[in-house]
Amino acid sequence: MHDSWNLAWKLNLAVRGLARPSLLQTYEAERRKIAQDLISFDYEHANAFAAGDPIALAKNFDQNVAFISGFGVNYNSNCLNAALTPKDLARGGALRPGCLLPPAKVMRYIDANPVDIQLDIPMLGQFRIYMFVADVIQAKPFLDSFCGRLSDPTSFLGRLTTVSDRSHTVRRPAITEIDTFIQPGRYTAASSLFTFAMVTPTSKSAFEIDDLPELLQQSRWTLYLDDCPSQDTRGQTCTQKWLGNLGLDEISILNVRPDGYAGGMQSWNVNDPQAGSEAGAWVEDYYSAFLCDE
Amino acid sequence: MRLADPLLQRGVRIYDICFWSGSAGKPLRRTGREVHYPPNVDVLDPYILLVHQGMIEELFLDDLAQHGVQVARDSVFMDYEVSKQMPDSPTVTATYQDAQSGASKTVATQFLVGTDGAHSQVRKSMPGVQAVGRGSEAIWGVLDGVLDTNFPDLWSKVVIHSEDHGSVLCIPRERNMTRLYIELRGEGGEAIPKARQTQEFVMHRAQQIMQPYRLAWATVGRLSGSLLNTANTCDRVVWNIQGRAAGCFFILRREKRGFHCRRCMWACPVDANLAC
Repeated sequence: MHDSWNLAWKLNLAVRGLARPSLLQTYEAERRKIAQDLISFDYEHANAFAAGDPIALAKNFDQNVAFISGFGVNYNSNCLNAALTPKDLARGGALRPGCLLPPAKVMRYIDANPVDIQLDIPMLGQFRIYMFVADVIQAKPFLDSFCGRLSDPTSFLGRLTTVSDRSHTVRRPAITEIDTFIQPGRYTAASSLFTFAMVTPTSKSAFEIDDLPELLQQSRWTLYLDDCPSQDTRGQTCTQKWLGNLGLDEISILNVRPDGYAGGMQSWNVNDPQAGSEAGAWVEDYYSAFLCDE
Repeated sequence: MRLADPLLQRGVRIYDICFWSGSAGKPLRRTGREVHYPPNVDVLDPYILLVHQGMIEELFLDDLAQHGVQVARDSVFMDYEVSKQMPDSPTVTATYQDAQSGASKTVATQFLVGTDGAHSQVRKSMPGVQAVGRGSEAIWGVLDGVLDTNFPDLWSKVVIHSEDHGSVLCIPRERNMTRLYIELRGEGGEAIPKARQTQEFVMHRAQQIMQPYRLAWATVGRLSGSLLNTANTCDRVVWNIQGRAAGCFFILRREKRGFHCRRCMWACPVDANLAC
């Protein structure tokens, strides 16, 4: 099933003319590794099972329990899964590129619903770009610059969005009865190729949606308040669990693949006047390795 | 994908795993009991959800149908050709034997996806591509049914090992059923002849392994007595996915009634899988 899951979104982008050849090539590299991991595990497990060796069996099981669960099915570094910088690695977060997002609880700003953030955005074949903002007020110049660049129709992401939006008018996803309840348009208001999201511990009373850059105003269903750690499996905030210690003057950008795997994450200091455009360039670099706008 | 709800309503959830073993000198006894997904694996739903493969397939077929995509079955894939008239956008032409008319037909597509299993005809049609490795010799019997037994751990996942008779993997199923994977080995460890691989033989072997517990089948499921090994064969067919997915053409595998891959033994917890 995960073979299909891995291939489907890549094929979708290829059919829409958005994929470089490098994108489809990642299918074999990623899934072949898992097939080999599975064969090795199955072989060892079946041998320990048939030999009736409870100690070997328990040990083999323990070492592989995350893999068996499906949650620990991880992909190696490639153009989709960018390795973390040593600085981001040292923060102590659990999130790793090439891995699924660990479960975390946040509160949706717009309707105060506590949600499982790793599942909240419906999977529509689109990427997700999360902004982890320690202080929304302090980060305003960064957010204006970063969001402005991403939504500029002449920027790389802007051009990708134009090609994708045009393709969606020709190859239009079917609208089903359940869609009238899910309202997928809430997640693609800014782009059919990207859902933009913000996660922040800043209190709800400290800002209005209208205070945010236009891109985030269009993304009003994916603004999350990171204030319900008591509902988490480990009592952590999403930022703490995924990224680790993020300073008050820092901001992290996270790319998530259409199949829900983390793609790449990096952090900037919001007080650096160049940080917004540097982060924008970093995002463009990430996507230009496997997407094309012509 | 919001598809998991019907499975969550119908599936059986398994949270723990028990280990049993026995030999001539020591009667069958429980040697361990563990949480299946211990807390070091950070998942929302730390259990195995077990439902019949047919229910999962039906879910996908229904969802495809709602999206205007029909799956046509039973046509046999023959061959394909790649046209390089336009080098920038090569076209694949696949030939198949139509299920209704028996006539040879072709379909032109941008991408051809061969997902027709271990004995893939698509792979055999690809020049210079060969399968590597070989199937395992181990043979396991698979039985689904409602059990009449006094074995105490029926509603956990259980690994049972008998030194004399082999191993059984026991997995709770929906509709009050239990699935047993039963190792079939001969007296000296040699393979068991095909003629002896009957449902009665498999049931008898399970009873031997689970002695002194009573083991009988109140009802036996439709999949009863199927045998599997990794060299199991299956038919090749074309599933023509028509409609909005045009641009891709999938060659899928038709599973024999009762065919199951080994992988079914390791089902996934839902949040890593269908609930997303």
